[in-house]
Amino acid sequence: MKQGRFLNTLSYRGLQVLGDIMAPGDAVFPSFKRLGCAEHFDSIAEHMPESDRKDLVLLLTVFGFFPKILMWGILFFIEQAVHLPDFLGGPFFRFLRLGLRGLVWSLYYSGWKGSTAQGKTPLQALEYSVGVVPLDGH
Amino acid sequence: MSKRFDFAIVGSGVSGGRMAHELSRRGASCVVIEAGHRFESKTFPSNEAMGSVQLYWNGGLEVSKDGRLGFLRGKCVGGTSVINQALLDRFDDLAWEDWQQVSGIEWLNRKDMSSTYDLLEKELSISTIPEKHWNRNAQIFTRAFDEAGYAWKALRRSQGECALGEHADEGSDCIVCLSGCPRNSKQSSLVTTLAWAEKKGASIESEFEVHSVDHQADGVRVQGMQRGAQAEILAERLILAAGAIGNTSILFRSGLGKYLPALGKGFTCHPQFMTYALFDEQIDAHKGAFQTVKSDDGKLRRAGYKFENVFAPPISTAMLLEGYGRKHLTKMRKYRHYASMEVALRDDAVGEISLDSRGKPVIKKHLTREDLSKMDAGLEIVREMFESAGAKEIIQCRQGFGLHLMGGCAIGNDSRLSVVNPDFQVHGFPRFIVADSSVFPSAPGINPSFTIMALSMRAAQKAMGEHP
Repeated sequence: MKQGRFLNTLSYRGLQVLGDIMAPGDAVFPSFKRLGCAEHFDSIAEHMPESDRKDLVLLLTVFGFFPKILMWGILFFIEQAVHLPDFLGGPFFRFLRLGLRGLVWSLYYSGWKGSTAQGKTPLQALEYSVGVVPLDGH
Repeated sequence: MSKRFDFAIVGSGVSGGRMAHELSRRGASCVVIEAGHRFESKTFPSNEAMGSVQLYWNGGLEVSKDGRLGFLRGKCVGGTSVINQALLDRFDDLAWEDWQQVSGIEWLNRKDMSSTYDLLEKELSISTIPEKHWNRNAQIFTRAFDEAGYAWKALRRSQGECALGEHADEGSDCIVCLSGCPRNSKQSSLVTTLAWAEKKGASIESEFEVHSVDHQADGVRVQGMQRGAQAEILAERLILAAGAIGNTSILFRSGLGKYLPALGKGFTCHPQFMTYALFDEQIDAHKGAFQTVKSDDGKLRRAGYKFENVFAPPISTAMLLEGYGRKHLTKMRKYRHYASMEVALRDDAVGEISLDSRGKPVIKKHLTREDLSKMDAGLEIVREMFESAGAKEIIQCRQGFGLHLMGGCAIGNDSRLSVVNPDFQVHGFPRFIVADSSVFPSAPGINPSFTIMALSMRAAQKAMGEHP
């Protein structure tokens, strides 16, 4: 487990729990935790605006306290709360949802995996490959 | 920096690059100021995640105040021209007539602007992707349009030699170019106007985030932070080419809001909504030239929407497909079997950009009842077309996003209703010039890049005293 510069044990755990609920794995895809892509959190976080990064790390730290079942409930609630009207806090939950999805899917579908992970990444499982003919190839 | 330039240009995208080129080749000394990093073909980010966080503002996505719309804008040398598809379309009468009416400016018409378009077309490498290179997604699009009786045509792109194959896995996959074109084929300002301007002596200051600008009796002062240190640039005149959000924010932070009642108003973004259609066959919409054709139908145009065949790489697709958990993974597993199409709306100019207490932009942008009606109608047409093409399942994404960020500094005769006068100068601040998408008085419903170039060319001519 490599927490990196920005996450501590608790926030790293929070990210793993969140990721495992969103991407639990199946016969084709690895689970978020098994993939180990959370090790690459720093690669993304270092380019985020500092205030956003601090907010995100704080949120992940809070998530780190939660058991998985509670985290599952929170995610379920957020999915419903995005439909709330603006005056009841709908925008907050839409921001939150976009932010959490952006983080987890960016790590999960980036092609990265952890230092000790084995097996295919989600991109390999999808057989997603893209290429560019190099300039000097012509 | 002690040197005093003729022009300080904030922003290095389609407008900033064009202005730098036009002014430099006329002998003016220019400095281009860009908030983002300078990448080159060999150093562009190698995966989608890093592309998002390194090439876009705000780590990938900015969001409207109500959280319903996402906005994408480039933050790198070359700006959004590095991350878009370099689509170049002339405006039609519908767009020009609307602009003329809103702005009250006579020369905003097709006839007067055609000579500027002509000059640009002579200078740029513009072409369409030959039909033999169209991927399966494009073939489904054109067949569905033919069967529905709607007209379509190939997209005009500014490109060099893309080295496309006639079949998947035989050539380049252009979806990579959303994180910068590694072949230098896409004719972004990075490989065209900025490179030309540098040859004429223009300099580029990257990773310089402008905080404010000062209009003085004898020149302008640009202040900001460059790589963690305070920085300042002096020039005779300032070109603001940082787009709708960038220009508006800078002018507000510079205290001009009290003089410019229209500042920040009239923001539009051509909100786009994707539809994914699942087919039994493997579509591989991400392979080859992934964006090649569009609607070209008068009836659809008048109704206020357009369609393009597009697709999204995996992270973006995961963002667009709803849900999470095993249901989400089941949807993603079919990635290579999805075709996709987007509908983009010609939206009402009701958006507004302001600043929060920390000086960060706040974008109020909601879809009006008419916009929602267009969205529903457009999505229904897409649904019908995909159903007729044999789709097994159709997923319509309600998360809208805007790539064409326009308005906030509208051009016009009336200083109560606009920010920039017909000479592209900010009302009451003649040393400040704006000619990018922020001056658009309304949403044209057509890809804006070519007209941004045309307006910028005209603004440069005016700045050098060449245009009446």
